[in-house]
Amino acid sequence: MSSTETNLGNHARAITEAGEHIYRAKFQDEFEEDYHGQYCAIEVTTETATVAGTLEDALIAAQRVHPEGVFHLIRVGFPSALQMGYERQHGEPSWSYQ
Amino acid sequence: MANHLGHISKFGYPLLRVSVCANSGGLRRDFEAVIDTGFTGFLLLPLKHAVMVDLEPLNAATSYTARDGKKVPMLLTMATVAIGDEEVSGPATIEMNGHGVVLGMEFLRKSGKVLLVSNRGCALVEEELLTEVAKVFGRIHASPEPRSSAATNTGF
Repeated sequence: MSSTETNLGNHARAITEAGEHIYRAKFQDEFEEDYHGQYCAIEVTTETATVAGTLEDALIAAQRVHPEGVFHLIRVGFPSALQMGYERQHGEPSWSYQ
Repeated sequence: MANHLGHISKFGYPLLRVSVCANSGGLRRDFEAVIDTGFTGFLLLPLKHAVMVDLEPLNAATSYTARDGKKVPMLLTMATVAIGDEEVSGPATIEMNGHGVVLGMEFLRKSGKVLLVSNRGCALVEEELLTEVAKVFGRIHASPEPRSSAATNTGF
């Protein structure tokens, strides 16, 4: 992996870890009652949340409130905002699409 | 409104030729994209492909869960996917060491297309065709409840 990939990967990981920590501490219990299946954008510097029906709508609405914000996207009640059909082995997909 | 023919890869996956660019325009490149109905997102592409079309990551991240339960963090951006003369925009996820361009269920939803696939070929067709097929079988395709586009800022 190049240094750019490593840096961007670390950046993604840092935002994700901060966002998930904030979500668990402040929002998870209430949101899983009220917004199950919806998408939540956590702005990690102000620790605020914006909820919408799609990932795109949550991100756009959150950016409107915090134009310079740093966001982590979550799907309420799911382990991640997105699911993938394949599994990884040693950091690589277990098969190639092509 | 059009239908688009793809083909099946040597490993049996449906492939479609699409072009990708940033929402703001600029560089556009053609890629062979897998249509993966196990992927719930719009577009996933490796960083090296994102760089080819000047797709800059937003200050936003998300993650996906793979079939084995592992979580993979990724950066987000907005991208436009064109098939023929039809364009659809949506959130693209950038995978650091990804291997291919993937279109998921959100792409099918936003484009209003249905994926037809057999072991000899594949096609993206208009959703209306599915309605016609459902009528032939005597039942109406049940649409999911429309997803709210209204966002709630919780004000916490």
